[in-house]
Amino acid sequence: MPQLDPSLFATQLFWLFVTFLVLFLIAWKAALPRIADVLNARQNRIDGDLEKAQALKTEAEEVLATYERSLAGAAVQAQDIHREAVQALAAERAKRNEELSRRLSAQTREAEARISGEKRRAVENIREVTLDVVQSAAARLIGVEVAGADADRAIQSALQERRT
Amino acid sequence: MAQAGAGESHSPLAQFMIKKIIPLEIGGVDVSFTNSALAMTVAVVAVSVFLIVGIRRGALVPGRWQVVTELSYEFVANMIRDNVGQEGRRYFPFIFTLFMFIFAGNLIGMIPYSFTYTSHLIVTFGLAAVVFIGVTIIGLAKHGLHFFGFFLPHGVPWFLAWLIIPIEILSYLSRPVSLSLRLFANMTAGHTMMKVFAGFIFVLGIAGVAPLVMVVALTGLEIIIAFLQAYVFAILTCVYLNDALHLH
Repeated sequence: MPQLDPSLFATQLFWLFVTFLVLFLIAWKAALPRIADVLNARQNRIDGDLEKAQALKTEAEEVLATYERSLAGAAVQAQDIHREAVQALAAERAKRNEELSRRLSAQTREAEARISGEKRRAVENIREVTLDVVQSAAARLIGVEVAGADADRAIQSALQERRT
Repeated sequence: MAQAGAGESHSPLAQFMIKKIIPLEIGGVDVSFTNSALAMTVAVVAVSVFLIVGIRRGALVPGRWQVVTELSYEFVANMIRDNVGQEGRRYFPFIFTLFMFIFAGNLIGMIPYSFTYTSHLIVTFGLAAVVFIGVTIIGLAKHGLHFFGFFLPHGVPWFLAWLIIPIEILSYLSRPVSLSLRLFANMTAGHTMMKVFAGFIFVLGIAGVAPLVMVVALTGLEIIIAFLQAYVFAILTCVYLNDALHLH
């Protein structure tokens, strides 16, 4: 095998050393730092973008929270207004009901007063008519002129009897 | 074998022959520029171009080439982070170079008529020796004499120490051997097998379709192995480094 020829070991080791060293220096000093720079730049860019996205997300969430807070405030306000309106309406209605019932009861009282007045007058009229009837009936039937006072007393007692 | 003549140039092992391109001698030692050195140079140029041109624009949204360049970086970086941890970052350039050098060597070997320098034991042993010596020095520098406690794991009863310590030392010393032999054997065996099958194609005439299909399948397998062996070499380096940094 050509691999086992010792006379060629020196030259192979020599050129191995030289070429490997050259490649090592190129990689170490030139290529790898450049690749590392590019990779770092990209990583930084990605991190920066992620950070920015995170900041924007936080901001959006804040805006949303503010919006929801104002929405809730508006809802509370609307409820207040509604409740006030309902209360005002209820008060108005109660006042009107009261006024109406007061007026109705006043009219009822007035009407009752008028009715009792008419009744009394009617009763008085009946006594006068009864007195006339009694006097003229007594004069016609028995020819006696009954004095007004006597007749009145007799009617009174008769009415008393009927009532008891 | 190595002394193959012109008539035997179709031997499955001929592909591993080292040919001098530019004869060179330094201090009496033969350091000729060979086809092996040429393949290494091509690998260095290819990897450098792959990395530097790939990342040249440094686009925020990478193109196809840049994605692959970044992928190679992150692949090795993750390997070190998972197997060594934060302290391994210092050794990232070395392990990255090691991975790319072996991977490029294996892939260049897949090009017909090219040369696979990772199929030479002395090359893989050179790499493994650097890893072994480097890791040992790192361990000694970090832990001082406590590093030798590595050879007696915690919880071993004292009366077994006479058995465990030689075993641990032996297993430690065999690391560079297994590391280099694994890569060398995989590459040599794979390429030899492909060559053997390829040799049958014309000999068998129409029936040569069968070995042709086999060679196509083997090519796919060899490309997987090219990656896998580079990965194994790099990850074992990480494991050894982790042992040296954190002991058991």
